[in-house]
Amino acid sequence: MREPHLVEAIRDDLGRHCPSLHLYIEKEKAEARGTFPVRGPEGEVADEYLVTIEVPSRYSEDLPVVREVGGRIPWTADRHVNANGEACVLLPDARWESFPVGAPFLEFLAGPLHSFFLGQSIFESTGKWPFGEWSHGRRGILEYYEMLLETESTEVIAGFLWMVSRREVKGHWDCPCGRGKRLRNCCLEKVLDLRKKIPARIASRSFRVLERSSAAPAR
Amino acid sequence: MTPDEYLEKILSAQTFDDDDPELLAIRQYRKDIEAILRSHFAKSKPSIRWAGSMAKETMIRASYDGDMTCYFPDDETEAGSTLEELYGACEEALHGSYDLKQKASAIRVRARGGAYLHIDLVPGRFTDSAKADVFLHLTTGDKERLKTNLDVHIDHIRDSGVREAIRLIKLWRVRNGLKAKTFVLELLVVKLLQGKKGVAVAEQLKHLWTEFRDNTENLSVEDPANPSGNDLKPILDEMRWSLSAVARTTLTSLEALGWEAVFGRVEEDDDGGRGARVNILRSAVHIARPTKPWLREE
Repeated sequence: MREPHLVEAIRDDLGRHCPSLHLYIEKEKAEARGTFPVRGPEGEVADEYLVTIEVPSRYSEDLPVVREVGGRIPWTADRHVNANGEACVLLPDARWESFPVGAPFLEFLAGPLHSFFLGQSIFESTGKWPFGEWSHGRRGILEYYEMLLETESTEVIAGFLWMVSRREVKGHWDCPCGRGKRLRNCCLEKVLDLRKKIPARIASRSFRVLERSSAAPAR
Repeated sequence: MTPDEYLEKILSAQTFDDDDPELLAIRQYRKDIEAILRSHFAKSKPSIRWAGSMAKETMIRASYDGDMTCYFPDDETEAGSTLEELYGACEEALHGSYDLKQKASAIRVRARGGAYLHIDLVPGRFTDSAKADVFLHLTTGDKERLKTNLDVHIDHIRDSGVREAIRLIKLWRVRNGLKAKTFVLELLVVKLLQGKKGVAVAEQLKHLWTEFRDNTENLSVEDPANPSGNDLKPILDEMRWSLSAVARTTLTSLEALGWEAVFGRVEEDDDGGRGARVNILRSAVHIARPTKPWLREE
Protein backbone atom coordinates (compact mmCIF):
# COMPACT_ATOMS: atom_id res chain seq x y z
CA MET A 1 0.00 0.00 0.00
CA ARG A 2 1.85 3.05 -1.24
CA GLU A 3 -0.81 5.75 -1.58
CA PRO A 4 0.04 8.47 0.98
CA HIS A 5 -3.60 9.55 1.31
CA LEU A 6 -4.61 6.01 2.31
CA VAL A 7 -1.79 5.83 4.85
CA GLU A 8 -2.92 9.11 6.39
CA ALA A 9 -6.59 8.06 6.36
CA ILE A 10 -5.78 4.81 8.15
CA ARG A 11 -3.60 6.65 10.69
CA ASP A 12 -6.47 9.06 11.38
CA ASP A 13 -8.94 6.22 11.84
CA LEU A 14 -6.59 4.37 14.17
CA GLY A 15 -5.89 7.51 16.17
CA ARG A 16 -9.61 8.10 16.70
CA HIS A 17 -10.79 4.56 17.37
CA CYS A 18 -7.73 2.75 18.75
CA PRO A 19 -5.06 5.15 20.06
CA SER A 20 -2.80 2.26 21.09
CA LEU A 21 -2.82 0.79 17.58
CA HIS A 22 -0.32 2.41 15.21
CA LEU A 23 0.40 2.12 11.52
CA TYR A 24 4.05 1.33 10.81
CA ILE A 25 5.54 1.37 7.32
CA GLU A 26 8.58 -0.89 7.15
CA LYS A 27 10.21 -2.03 3.92
CA GLU A 28 7.16 -0.74 2.01
CA LYS A 29 4.92 -2.97 4.09
CA ALA A 30 2.13 -1.29 6.03
CA GLU A 31 1.16 -2.91 9.29
CA ALA A 32 -0.89 -1.69 12.22
CA ARG A 33 0.37 -3.06 15.53
CA GLY A 34 -0.67 -2.59 19.12
CA THR A 35 -3.72 -2.97 21.32
CA PHE A 36 -7.21 -3.42 19.88
CA PRO A 37 -9.98 -2.41 22.30
CA VAL A 38 -13.26 -4.32 22.57
CA ARG A 39 -15.77 -1.76 23.69
CA GLY A 40 -18.89 -2.05 25.80
CA PRO A 41 -22.23 -0.36 25.05
CA GLU A 42 -21.09 2.98 26.51
CA GLY A 43 -17.85 2.93 24.55
CA GLU A 44 -15.84 1.79 27.56
CA VAL A 45 -12.95 -0.59 26.95
CA ALA A 46 -14.18 -3.97 28.18
CA ASP A 47 -11.37 -6.13 26.83
CA GLU A 48 -8.18 -5.82 24.81
CA TYR A 49 -6.16 -7.86 22.35
CA LEU A 50 -2.61 -7.42 21.10
CA VAL A 51 -2.82 -7.55 17.34
CA THR A 52 -1.06 -6.98 14.06
CA ILE A 53 -3.11 -5.91 11.05
CA GLU A 54 -1.23 -6.14 7.77
CA VAL A 55 -2.61 -3.76 5.18
CA PRO A 56 -2.19 -5.59 1.87
CA SER A 57 -0.66 -3.96 -1.20
CA ARG A 58 -4.06 -4.28 -2.94
CA TYR A 59 -5.94 -2.66 -0.08
CA SER A 60 -8.88 -2.13 0.00
CA GLU A 61 -9.68 -4.76 -2.63
CA ASP A 62 -7.94 -7.33 -0.45
CA LEU A 63 -8.90 -7.61 3.20
CA PRO A 64 -6.43 -6.71 5.97
CA VAL A 65 -4.63 -9.71 7.45
CA VAL A 66 -5.20 -9.90 11.21
CA ARG A 67 -3.17 -11.79 13.81
CA GLU A 68 -3.64 -11.89 17.58
CA VAL A 69 -0.07 -11.81 18.89
CA GLY A 70 -0.53 -11.76 22.66
CA GLY A 71 -0.75 -15.53 22.86
CA ARG A 72 -4.32 -15.44 24.16
CA ILE A 73 -6.18 -17.03 21.24
CA PRO A 74 -4.98 -20.49 20.21
CA TRP A 75 -4.27 -21.04 16.53
CA THR A 76 -7.05 -23.54 16.11
CA ALA A 77 -10.01 -23.98 13.81
CA ASP A 78 -12.58 -23.71 16.59
CA ARG A 79 -11.25 -20.19 17.32
CA HIS A 80 -11.28 -19.29 13.61
CA VAL A 81 -7.53 -18.90 13.40
CA ASN A 82 -5.62 -20.59 10.59
CA ALA A 83 -2.53 -22.71 11.35
CA ASN A 84 -0.30 -19.78 10.29
CA GLY A 85 -1.89 -17.50 12.89
CA GLU A 86 -4.08 -15.54 10.47
CA ALA A 87 -7.50 -14.82 11.92
CA CYS A 88 -10.50 -15.46 9.67
CA VAL A 89 -12.34 -12.36 10.77
CA LEU A 90 -15.11 -12.68 8.21
CA LEU A 91 -16.12 -14.49 5.05
CA PRO A 92 -14.76 -12.36 2.19
CA ASP A 93 -17.94 -12.98 0.15
CA ALA A 94 -19.96 -11.32 2.93
CA ARG A 95 -17.73 -8.26 3.27
CA TRP A 96 -20.06 -6.05 1.23
CA GLU A 97 -22.46 -6.10 4.18
CA SER A 98 -20.00 -4.59 6.66
CA PHE A 99 -16.82 -3.46 4.92
CA PRO A 100 -17.28 -3.03 1.17
CA VAL A 101 -14.34 -2.31 -1.12
CA GLY A 102 -13.42 1.37 -0.78
CA ALA A 103 -14.94 1.80 2.69
CA PRO A 104 -12.89 3.66 5.32
CA PHE A 105 -10.59 1.57 7.51
CA LEU A 106 -12.65 2.65 10.50
CA GLU A 107 -15.52 0.51 9.18
CA PHE A 108 -13.26 -2.52 9.34
CA LEU A 109 -12.19 -1.70 12.89
CA ALA A 110 -15.65 -0.92 14.20
CA GLY A 111 -17.39 -3.62 12.16
CA PRO A 112 -15.85 -7.02 11.40
CA LEU A 113 -12.80 -6.68 13.64
CA HIS A 114 -14.84 -5.60 16.65
CA SER A 115 -17.37 -8.39 16.06
CA PHE A 116 -14.52 -10.90 15.79
CA PHE A 117 -12.80 -9.96 19.04
CA LEU A 118 -16.04 -9.39 20.93
CA GLY A 119 -16.99 -12.88 19.78
CA GLN A 120 -13.61 -14.23 20.95
CA SER A 121 -14.06 -12.70 24.41
CA ILE A 122 -17.52 -14.17 24.79
CA PHE A 123 -16.46 -17.53 23.36
CA GLU A 124 -13.60 -17.60 25.87
CA SER A 125 -16.11 -17.30 28.72
CA THR A 126 -19.10 -19.20 27.41
CA GLY A 127 -17.92 -21.46 24.58
CA LYS A 128 -20.50 -19.87 22.28
CA TRP A 129 -20.19 -17.42 19.38
CA PRO A 130 -22.63 -14.56 20.05
CA PHE A 131 -23.30 -13.92 16.37
CA GLY A 132 -22.88 -17.48 15.12
CA GLU A 133 -20.08 -18.69 12.88
CA TRP A 134 -19.66 -19.92 9.33
CA SER A 135 -18.49 -23.47 8.84
CA HIS A 136 -14.89 -23.81 7.76
CA GLY A 137 -13.65 -23.64 4.19
CA ARG A 138 -15.94 -24.70 1.33
CA ARG A 139 -18.86 -25.57 3.59
CA GLY A 140 -18.95 -22.03 4.96
CA ILE A 141 -18.99 -20.54 1.48
CA LEU A 142 -21.89 -22.78 0.55
CA GLU A 143 -23.79 -21.88 3.74
CA TYR A 144 -23.49 -18.20 2.90
CA TYR A 145 -24.71 -18.51 -0.68
CA GLU A 146 -27.45 -20.96 0.29
CA MET A 147 -28.79 -18.20 2.51
CA LEU A 148 -28.15 -15.37 0.07
CA LEU A 149 -29.53 -17.12 -3.04
CA GLU A 150 -32.15 -19.16 -1.20
CA THR A 151 -31.06 -22.42 -2.77
CA GLU A 152 -29.43 -25.59 -1.56
CA SER A 153 -28.03 -26.48 -4.98
CA THR A 154 -24.26 -26.27 -5.20
CA GLU A 155 -24.59 -26.26 -8.97
CA VAL A 156 -26.85 -23.20 -8.93
CA ILE A 157 -24.54 -21.38 -6.50
CA ALA A 158 -21.50 -22.17 -8.65
CA GLY A 159 -23.40 -20.94 -11.70
CA PHE A 160 -24.16 -17.58 -10.08
CA LEU A 161 -20.56 -17.25 -8.85
CA TRP A 162 -19.25 -17.96 -12.33
CA MET A 163 -21.39 -15.13 -13.72
CA VAL A 164 -20.28 -12.73 -10.99
CA SER A 165 -16.66 -13.56 -11.76
CA ARG A 166 -16.96 -12.77 -15.50
CA ARG A 167 -15.84 -9.48 -16.98
CA GLU A 168 -19.37 -9.11 -18.43
CA VAL A 169 -22.57 -11.10 -18.66
CA LYS A 170 -24.72 -11.74 -21.74
CA GLY A 171 -28.48 -11.86 -21.64
CA HIS A 172 -28.63 -14.86 -23.96
CA TRP A 173 -26.70 -17.08 -21.58
CA ASP A 174 -28.57 -19.85 -19.81
CA CYS A 175 -29.78 -18.68 -16.43
CA PRO A 176 -27.81 -20.29 -13.57
CA CYS A 177 -30.98 -20.90 -11.53
CA GLY A 178 -31.74 -24.07 -13.53
CA ARG A 179 -35.25 -23.15 -14.77
CA GLY A 180 -34.05 -23.48 -18.38
CA LYS A 181 -34.63 -19.86 -19.38
CA ARG A 182 -32.30 -17.28 -20.87
CA LEU A 183 -30.64 -15.05 -18.30
CA ARG A 184 -32.40 -11.91 -19.62
CA ASN A 185 -35.75 -13.56 -19.09
CA CYS A 186 -34.99 -14.91 -15.63
CA CYS A 187 -32.42 -13.91 -12.95
CA LEU A 188 -30.54 -11.09 -14.72
CA GLU A 189 -31.42 -8.56 -12.01
CA LYS A 190 -30.26 -10.95 -9.31
CA VAL A 191 -26.95 -11.52 -11.10
CA LEU A 192 -26.42 -7.77 -11.61
CA ASP A 193 -27.20 -7.13 -7.95
CA LEU A 194 -24.68 -9.78 -6.89
CA ARG A 195 -22.05 -8.28 -9.21
CA LYS A 196 -22.49 -4.96 -7.43
CA LYS A 197 -22.00 -6.55 -4.04
CA ILE A 198 -19.38 -9.23 -4.52
CA PRO A 199 -16.07 -8.35 -6.18
CA ALA A 200 -15.24 -10.53 -9.20
CA ARG A 201 -11.99 -11.76 -7.63
CA ILE A 202 -13.78 -13.01 -4.53
CA ALA A 203 -16.50 -14.68 -6.60
CA SER A 204 -13.85 -16.27 -8.79
CA ARG A 205 -11.98 -17.62 -5.78
CA SER A 206 -15.14 -19.06 -4.23
CA PHE A 207 -16.15 -20.53 -7.60
CA ARG A 208 -12.80 -22.32 -7.79
CA VAL A 209 -13.27 -23.67 -4.25
CA LEU A 210 -16.68 -25.07 -5.21
CA GLU A 211 -15.38 -26.30 -8.54
CA ARG A 212 -12.86 -28.49 -6.77
CA SER A 213 -15.75 -30.64 -5.63
CA SER A 214 -17.40 -33.01 -8.07
CA ALA A 215 -20.83 -31.46 -7.51
CA ALA A 216 -19.84 -28.18 -9.15
CA PRO A 217 -20.43 -27.74 -12.87
CA ALA A 218 -17.57 -27.70 -15.36
CA ARG A 219 -17.61 -24.42 -17.27
CA MET B 1 -6.18 5.77 43.20
CA THR B 2 -3.15 7.92 42.47
CA PRO B 3 -1.21 7.43 39.22
CA ASP B 4 1.60 5.73 41.10
CA GLU B 5 -0.82 3.38 42.89
CA TYR B 6 -2.35 2.56 39.52
CA LEU B 7 1.07 1.90 37.96
CA GLU B 8 2.05 -0.27 40.91
CA LYS B 9 -1.02 -2.42 40.30
CA ILE B 10 -0.22 -2.62 36.60
CA LEU B 11 3.31 -3.75 37.43
CA SER B 12 2.02 -6.23 39.96
CA ALA B 13 -0.23 -7.77 37.30
CA GLN B 14 2.82 -8.02 35.04
CA THR B 15 4.92 -9.82 37.65
CA PHE B 16 5.18 -13.59 37.69
CA ASP B 17 4.75 -15.51 40.91
CA ASP B 18 7.56 -17.97 41.42
CA ASP B 19 5.23 -20.91 40.76
CA ASP B 20 3.46 -19.35 37.76
CA PRO B 21 2.86 -22.00 35.08
CA GLU B 22 4.30 -19.71 32.39
CA LEU B 23 7.46 -19.15 34.39
CA LEU B 24 7.79 -22.84 35.20
CA ALA B 25 7.33 -23.63 31.51
CA ILE B 26 10.10 -21.33 30.38
CA ARG B 27 12.42 -22.59 33.12
CA GLN B 28 11.76 -26.15 32.02
CA TYR B 29 12.30 -25.08 28.42
CA ARG B 30 15.70 -23.71 29.35
CA LYS B 31 16.53 -26.88 31.30
CA ASP B 32 15.77 -29.02 28.26
CA ILE B 33 17.94 -26.88 25.99
CA GLU B 34 20.72 -26.78 28.57
CA ALA B 35 20.67 -30.58 28.92
CA ILE B 36 21.17 -30.99 25.18
CA LEU B 37 23.98 -28.42 25.09
CA ARG B 38 25.77 -29.89 28.13
CA SER B 39 25.55 -33.35 26.66
CA HIS B 40 26.71 -32.18 23.22
CA PHE B 41 29.56 -30.06 24.59
CA ALA B 42 30.51 -32.24 27.58
CA LYS B 43 34.22 -31.59 27.17
CA SER B 44 33.90 -27.88 26.46
CA LYS B 45 31.96 -27.03 29.63
CA PRO B 46 30.29 -23.89 28.31
CA SER B 47 28.87 -21.25 30.67
CA ILE B 48 25.09 -21.54 30.34
CA ARG B 49 23.01 -18.99 32.21
CA TRP B 50 20.06 -16.67 31.92
CA ALA B 51 20.58 -13.39 30.12
CA GLY B 52 18.08 -10.72 29.06
CA SER B 53 15.09 -9.75 31.20
CA MET B 54 15.27 -12.88 33.34
CA ALA B 55 18.79 -11.91 34.50
CA LYS B 56 18.08 -8.18 34.65
CA GLU B 57 14.82 -8.72 36.56
CA THR B 58 12.84 -6.66 34.10
CA MET B 59 10.53 -9.41 32.90
CA ILE B 60 6.89 -8.64 32.15
CA ARG B 61 4.04 -11.05 31.49
CA ALA B 62 3.11 -9.32 28.24
CA SER B 63 6.42 -10.34 26.68
CA TYR B 64 8.45 -12.90 28.57
CA ASP B 65 10.53 -14.95 26.19
CA GLY B 66 13.84 -16.05 27.67
CA ASP B 67 17.45 -15.38 26.71
CA MET B 68 20.31 -17.67 27.67
CA THR B 69 24.02 -17.82 27.00
CA CYS B 70 26.27 -20.60 25.83
CA TYR B 71 29.73 -19.12 26.31
CA PHE B 72 32.76 -21.32 25.62
CA PRO B 73 36.14 -20.96 27.37
CA ASP B 74 38.73 -18.87 25.51
CA ASP B 75 41.09 -21.81 25.01
CA GLU B 76 38.43 -24.28 24.00
CA THR B 77 38.42 -25.28 20.33
CA GLU B 78 36.71 -28.64 20.29
CA ALA B 79 33.29 -27.16 19.61
CA GLY B 80 34.78 -24.90 16.94
CA SER B 81 37.86 -22.84 16.31
CA THR B 82 36.06 -19.75 15.03
CA LEU B 83 33.06 -17.90 16.44
CA GLU B 84 31.09 -18.85 13.37
CA GLU B 85 31.89 -22.51 13.98
CA LEU B 86 30.76 -22.21 17.61
CA TYR B 87 27.49 -20.65 16.47
CA GLY B 88 27.08 -23.46 13.94
CA ALA B 89 27.92 -26.11 16.53
CA CYS B 90 25.11 -24.82 18.79
CA GLU B 91 22.70 -24.95 15.85
CA GLU B 92 23.91 -28.45 15.08
CA ALA B 93 23.31 -29.55 18.68
CA LEU B 94 19.72 -28.29 18.74
CA HIS B 95 18.40 -28.67 15.22
CA GLY B 96 17.15 -32.21 15.75
CA SER B 97 14.89 -31.15 18.62
CA TYR B 98 13.77 -27.59 17.85
CA ASP B 99 12.90 -25.13 15.12
CA LEU B 100 15.80 -22.68 14.87
CA LYS B 101 16.07 -19.22 13.39
CA GLN B 102 19.23 -17.14 13.06
CA LYS B 103 19.12 -13.73 14.73
CA ALA B 104 21.88 -11.09 14.72
CA SER B 105 23.94 -12.79 17.42
CA ALA B 106 21.49 -15.33 18.83
CA ILE B 107 19.74 -18.49 17.73
CA ARG B 108 15.99 -18.39 18.28
CA VAL B 109 15.02 -21.78 19.66
CA ARG B 110 11.35 -22.57 19.26
CA ALA B 111 9.52 -25.75 20.20
CA ARG B 112 8.19 -27.59 17.16
CA GLY B 113 4.56 -26.60 16.74
CA GLY B 114 4.79 -24.16 19.65
CA ALA B 115 3.46 -20.85 18.47
CA TYR B 116 4.73 -18.47 21.12
CA LEU B 117 7.30 -19.79 23.57
CA HIS B 118 10.88 -19.40 22.49
CA ILE B 119 14.33 -18.84 23.94
CA ASP B 120 17.10 -16.85 22.29
CA LEU B 121 20.37 -18.70 22.78
CA VAL B 122 23.49 -16.53 22.49
CA PRO B 123 26.64 -18.53 21.68
CA GLY B 124 30.00 -16.86 22.31
CA ARG B 125 33.57 -17.29 23.49
CA PHE B 126 35.21 -15.65 26.49
CA THR B 127 38.01 -13.34 25.45
CA ASP B 128 40.32 -14.61 28.21
CA SER B 129 40.48 -16.77 31.31
CA ALA B 130 38.82 -14.09 33.46
CA LYS B 131 35.55 -15.16 31.84
CA ALA B 132 34.08 -11.68 31.77
CA ASP B 133 34.26 -10.22 28.27
CA VAL B 134 32.88 -12.30 25.44
CA PHE B 135 33.08 -12.28 21.65
CA LEU B 136 29.79 -13.02 19.86
CA HIS B 137 29.43 -14.10 16.25
CA LEU B 138 27.36 -11.67 14.15
CA THR B 139 25.23 -13.14 11.36
CA THR B 140 24.31 -9.78 9.84
CA GLY B 141 26.03 -6.46 9.12
CA ASP B 142 29.62 -5.62 8.21
CA LYS B 143 31.26 -6.82 11.40
CA GLU B 144 31.88 -10.49 12.05
CA ARG B 145 32.11 -10.30 15.82
CA LEU B 146 31.00 -8.18 18.74
CA LYS B 147 32.67 -7.79 22.11
CA THR B 148 30.30 -7.68 25.06
CA ASN B 149 30.00 -8.40 28.76
CA LEU B 150 26.82 -9.85 30.19
CA ASP B 151 27.53 -8.91 33.79
CA VAL B 152 28.14 -5.28 32.87
CA HIS B 153 24.77 -5.23 31.07
CA ILE B 154 22.97 -6.92 33.93
CA ASP B 155 24.47 -4.61 36.56
CA HIS B 156 23.77 -1.53 34.44
CA ILE B 157 20.06 -2.31 34.36
CA ARG B 158 19.51 -4.16 37.64
CA ASP B 159 21.30 -1.50 39.65
CA SER B 160 19.91 1.42 37.68
CA GLY B 161 17.30 2.32 40.28
CA VAL B 162 14.71 2.72 37.52
CA ARG B 163 13.67 -0.88 36.88
CA GLU B 164 9.99 -0.05 37.44
CA ALA B 165 10.11 2.55 34.68
CA ILE B 166 12.01 0.10 32.45
CA ARG B 167 9.34 -2.57 32.92
CA LEU B 168 6.53 -0.09 32.26
CA ILE B 169 8.25 1.21 29.13
CA LYS B 170 8.63 -2.37 27.95
CA LEU B 171 4.90 -2.86 28.53
CA TRP B 172 4.19 0.38 26.68
CA ARG B 173 6.29 -0.88 23.78
CA VAL B 174 4.32 -4.15 23.61
CA ARG B 175 0.92 -2.47 23.94
CA ASN B 176 1.75 -0.11 21.10
CA GLY B 177 3.35 -2.64 18.76
CA LEU B 178 6.71 -0.84 18.77
CA LYS B 179 9.54 -2.92 17.40
CA ALA B 180 12.15 -0.99 19.37
CA LYS B 181 15.07 -3.17 20.52
CA THR B 182 14.67 -3.90 24.23
CA PHE B 183 18.38 -3.48 24.92
CA VAL B 184 18.48 0.00 23.40
CA LEU B 185 15.19 1.03 24.98
CA GLU B 186 16.48 0.01 28.42
CA LEU B 187 19.67 2.02 27.92
CA LEU B 188 17.60 5.03 26.84
CA VAL B 189 15.45 4.82 29.95
CA VAL B 190 18.48 4.60 32.25
CA LYS B 191 20.17 7.52 30.53
CA LEU B 192 17.11 9.79 30.35
CA LEU B 193 16.23 9.14 34.00
CA GLN B 194 19.65 9.99 35.35
CA GLY B 195 18.98 12.53 38.07
CA LYS B 196 15.31 11.51 38.26
CA LYS B 197 15.58 8.32 40.29
CA GLY B 198 13.76 9.80 43.25
CA VAL B 199 10.88 11.09 41.14
CA ALA B 200 7.50 9.30 41.10
CA VAL B 201 7.24 6.63 38.41
CA ALA B 202 4.33 8.41 36.72
CA GLU B 203 6.48 11.51 36.36
CA GLN B 204 9.41 9.44 35.12
CA LEU B 205 7.24 8.00 32.37
CA LYS B 206 5.90 11.41 31.36
CA HIS B 207 9.47 12.68 31.20
CA LEU B 208 10.53 9.77 28.99
CA TRP B 209 7.63 10.19 26.58
CA THR B 210 8.20 13.93 26.41
CA GLU B 211 11.86 13.33 25.54
CA PHE B 212 10.91 10.72 22.95
CA ARG B 213 8.39 13.12 21.43
CA ASP B 214 10.30 16.38 21.51
CA ASN B 215 13.93 15.42 21.47
CA THR B 216 13.99 12.33 19.33
CA GLU B 217 16.73 13.53 16.97
CA ASN B 218 19.14 14.11 19.85
CA LEU B 219 18.63 10.81 21.65
CA SER B 220 21.80 8.75 21.94
CA VAL B 221 22.99 5.75 23.94
CA GLU B 222 26.16 3.76 24.27
CA ASP B 223 26.74 0.12 25.11
CA PRO B 224 28.17 0.12 28.67
CA ALA B 225 30.09 -3.07 27.91
CA ASN B 226 31.64 -1.77 24.71
CA PRO B 227 31.18 2.01 24.30
CA SER B 228 33.51 2.43 21.35
CA GLY B 229 33.08 -0.89 19.58
CA ASN B 230 29.32 -1.30 19.49
CA ASP B 231 27.71 1.55 17.59
CA LEU B 232 24.03 1.63 18.61
CA LYS B 233 23.18 4.69 16.52
CA PRO B 234 21.88 2.73 13.51
CA ILE B 235 19.51 0.79 15.78
CA LEU B 236 18.37 3.99 17.45
CA ASP B 237 17.93 5.70 14.09
CA GLU B 238 15.47 3.00 13.04
CA MET B 239 13.44 3.62 16.20
CA ARG B 240 13.37 7.41 16.31
CA TRP B 241 10.32 8.14 14.20
CA SER B 242 8.09 5.50 15.78
CA LEU B 243 9.23 6.30 19.32
CA SER B 244 8.34 9.93 18.76
CA ALA B 245 5.01 9.23 17.05
CA VAL B 246 3.83 6.74 19.65
CA ALA B 247 4.98 8.93 22.54
CA ARG B 248 2.97 11.81 21.06
CA THR B 249 -0.19 9.70 20.90
CA THR B 250 0.43 8.38 24.41
CA LEU B 251 0.80 11.84 25.92
CA THR B 252 -2.35 12.98 24.13
CA SER B 253 -4.31 9.96 25.39
CA LEU B 254 -2.93 10.40 28.88
CA GLU B 255 -4.00 14.02 29.03
CA ALA B 256 -7.45 13.39 27.55
CA LEU B 257 -8.37 10.03 29.07
CA GLY B 258 -5.99 9.24 31.91
CA TRP B 259 -3.64 6.38 32.66
CA GLU B 260 -6.09 3.60 31.79
CA ALA B 261 -5.92 4.74 28.18
CA VAL B 262 -2.19 3.98 28.26
CA PHE B 263 -1.91 0.73 30.22
CA GLY B 264 -5.49 -0.54 30.38
CA ARG B 265 -7.80 -1.40 33.23
CA VAL B 266 -6.68 -2.68 36.58
CA GLU B 267 -8.60 -5.81 37.43
CA GLU B 268 -9.52 -5.53 41.09
CA ASP B 269 -11.65 -8.62 41.73
CA ASP B 270 -10.55 -12.19 42.40
CA ASP B 271 -11.28 -13.54 38.96
CA GLY B 272 -9.10 -10.96 37.26
CA GLY B 273 -12.12 -8.90 36.22
CA ARG B 274 -13.52 -11.66 34.05
CA GLY B 275 -17.02 -11.59 35.54
CA ALA B 276 -17.44 -7.85 35.15
CA ARG B 277 -15.91 -7.97 31.71
CA VAL B 278 -18.27 -10.66 30.49
CA ASN B 279 -21.29 -8.70 31.72
CA ILE B 280 -20.17 -5.65 29.76
CA LEU B 281 -19.43 -7.74 26.70
CA ARG B 282 -22.79 -9.50 26.85
CA SER B 283 -24.54 -6.17 26.82
CA ALA B 284 -22.45 -5.15 23.82
CA VAL B 285 -23.65 -7.92 21.53
CA HIS B 286 -26.70 -5.98 20.41
CA ILE B 287 -24.78 -4.34 17.61
CA ALA B 288 -26.34 -3.35 14.35
CA ARG B 289 -24.50 -5.49 11.80
CA PRO B 290 -22.42 -8.17 13.46
CA THR B 291 -20.26 -10.36 11.29
CA LYS B 292 -19.60 -14.05 11.73
CA PRO B 293 -16.09 -15.57 11.67
CA TRP B 294 -15.08 -18.12 9.03
CA LEU B 295 -12.02 -20.27 8.41
CA ARG B 296 -10.21 -20.52 5.10
CA GLU B 297 -8.92 -24.00 5.83
CA GLU B 298 -11.25 -27.01 5.90
